[in-house]
Amino acid sequence: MVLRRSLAALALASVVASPTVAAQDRVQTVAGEPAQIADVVLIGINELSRDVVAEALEVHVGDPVPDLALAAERVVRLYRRKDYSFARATAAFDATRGALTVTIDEGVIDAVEFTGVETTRAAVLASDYALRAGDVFQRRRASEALEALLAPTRGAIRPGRVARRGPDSPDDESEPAGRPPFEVVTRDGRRVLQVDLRTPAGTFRLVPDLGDREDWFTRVDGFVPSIGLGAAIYDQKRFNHAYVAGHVSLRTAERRGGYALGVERPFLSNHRVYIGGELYDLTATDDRWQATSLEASLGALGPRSSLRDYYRRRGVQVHAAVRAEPRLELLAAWRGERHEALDLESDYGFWNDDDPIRPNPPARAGRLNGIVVGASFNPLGFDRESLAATYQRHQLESPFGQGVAAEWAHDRLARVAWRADWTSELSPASLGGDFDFQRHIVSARTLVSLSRHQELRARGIVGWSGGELPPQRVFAIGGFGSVHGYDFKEAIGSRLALANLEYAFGWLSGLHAIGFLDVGRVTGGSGAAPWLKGVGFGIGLTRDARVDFGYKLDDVPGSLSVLVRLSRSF
Amino acid sequence: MRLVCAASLGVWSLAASADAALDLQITNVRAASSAVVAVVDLRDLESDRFKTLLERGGTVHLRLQTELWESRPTWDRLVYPAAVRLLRLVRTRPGGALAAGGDITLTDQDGTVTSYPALPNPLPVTVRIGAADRLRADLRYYLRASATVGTIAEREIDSVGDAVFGRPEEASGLGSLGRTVFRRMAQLSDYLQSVTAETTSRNLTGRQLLGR
Repeated sequence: MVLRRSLAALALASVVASPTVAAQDRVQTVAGEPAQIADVVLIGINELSRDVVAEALEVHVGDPVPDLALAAERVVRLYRRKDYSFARATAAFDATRGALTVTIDEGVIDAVEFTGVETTRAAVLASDYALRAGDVFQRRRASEALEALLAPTRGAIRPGRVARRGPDSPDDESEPAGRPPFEVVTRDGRRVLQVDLRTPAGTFRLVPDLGDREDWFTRVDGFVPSIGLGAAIYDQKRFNHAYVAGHVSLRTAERRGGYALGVERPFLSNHRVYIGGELYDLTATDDRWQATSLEASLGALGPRSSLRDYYRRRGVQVHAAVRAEPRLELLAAWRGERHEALDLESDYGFWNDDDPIRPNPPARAGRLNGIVVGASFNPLGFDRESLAATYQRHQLESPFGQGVAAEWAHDRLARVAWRADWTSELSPASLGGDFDFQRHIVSARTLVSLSRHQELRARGIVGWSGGELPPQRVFAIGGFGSVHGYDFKEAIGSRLALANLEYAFGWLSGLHAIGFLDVGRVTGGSGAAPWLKGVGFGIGLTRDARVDFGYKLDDVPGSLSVLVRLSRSF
Repeated sequence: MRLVCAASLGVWSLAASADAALDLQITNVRAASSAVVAVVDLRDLESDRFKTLLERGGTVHLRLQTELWESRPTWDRLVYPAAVRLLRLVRTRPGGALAAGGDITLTDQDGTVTSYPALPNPLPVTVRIGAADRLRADLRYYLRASATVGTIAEREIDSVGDAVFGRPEEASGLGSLGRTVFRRMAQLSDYLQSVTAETTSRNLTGRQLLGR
């Protein structure tokens, strides 16, 4: 902090307002009269409005020369309030011209360093970080850029919590010194931004698991309160984090518990290989593709609609997956499990108490030893999946494929989103089980954004089988989630072909209209196997919530069926 | 129960209409001389409720945030810190006094003032993203833009928890419903305060951006 006062008529004063400011004398003329400001000059303003800075300075032409340190500090405080944490300002007065000049360094950094991680990792992070030498530091933007930088580590590297004080640390009340993880130190005259990082060993979460693994209300189990456990053990070198998943539930109707406990870990870097296994005793269903867990549970609890058929599944599964490239995964699993029918029928429901509920078809009991192989292709890639989502997908509990809505919502970059899935379940008697069948399913789904108010969605599923399919593995279509206008699972058989087409227009995240056409056929059943054709329209209230009015194509309007959906059809 | 359903539908519709109030489209991203500049068209900026607010002499704030990302096979890279433009909209009479029925005056954070008898729809907004020397001709890039009208909204960032345990979109259970309802109710409570819209450009090569 410097204040120079000339005894001559020329007076020049200069004050640096960082890090601390003390009281200053006012600049005066020789005669002792307070000098007046004839001009205010602001230098170095790029990030903020000059008017805003001038207003913060609280100085006007004609005013007496203010306390220079205070004037500079007012500017610095303004910048700190705007998150420019390392801004500095100097104020000087040229008495000859009567000019008050405020020179501002908005917090330009000369270099970026990462601390708390290995040197090689720090170098990689520095080269990828959006904030570079020559940039102005603004805490909010720097924090957002840091979040983006560290996202691929999935929490293995996180912003540090320990504050270190550097000589340029801001020390006023609005910006506490050393607020982690950013700090500026001056080294050889250069302002170096230090970003402090930490590398935790892992992370853990225990939360109510409402429908992620088992439906929270079913007509065979009643209420199923459950707890889900997730834990990641971080691999700091290759980010091949191990994931441990747990699930404990209580089936209140049967007063029986359920559980799942498994682990999965990827290996290699370029083409990741996932190895994992799980022990489980679950109420399972093959009907995840027609209705979500939320819809199935609410449907059973409210209007007593049965949108899923259930059986008990307990045993062990080991699985492997190879991510041949970021968009393609090959999967394989070995299952040794026991299937049991669930006969108990809960009669609870909020309304439609007098209506009969569709009974749960009895599953064939027995030991299933089988191999499941498959592949998934997603042009948007699998790398952005959470560890939990990857683990759950590798359990191969959704043989009819998965929707693209999640990817679509997360990656608005794509105008066309699609994915394809294939699974083959092979359970020959030669593996020592009580079943003897094989079932193959190939599915594809797409979303095409035609304009900001139009969207086309399509799904195709084909399935075929051999041997003797047990009831819990037969194909079924009709009604909710497959062909509008028909009863749920109206057609049952051993071979399946299904195509769905939807066109949506309007405000796709808000009020919009939907037209749809469904065509499907199941063959290999006991009766005739006609093509089921459904048509209709819907009113969407959000991207997910909608009301569908569906008809059989050959019976409009006599076959009207109204469905309330809380998720996309596919 | 029917009353509850009807009320719910009304709430959802009202919240849904908030989504419909603003839209944005990236019309140009290029390196002009030494800087990368984007032009974003904002549509339906002056929705009914903000129009009423302006007519009453109130102030509407617009926050436009743009981020240029490098498209990679796995995780994309943020090339520059987010660029933000703030605009203040008021109705003024000649001389600058706030007045209902006057011109619409836009003041940006640089202090630049522009007046219109009626707000253009779409309203093009230019954003300087960063120095062009950070782009490489052989890489691919895309621009994300988000605009908030009303109040200055916080940006949603994927949390570490999301990366490990999953995003709301990945869940199908009761928790997802809770999050959706909460989001909608928050949107509803924010109804008179702010509306946000987002968009993303198509992939562009560095060569296209640099005009080579």
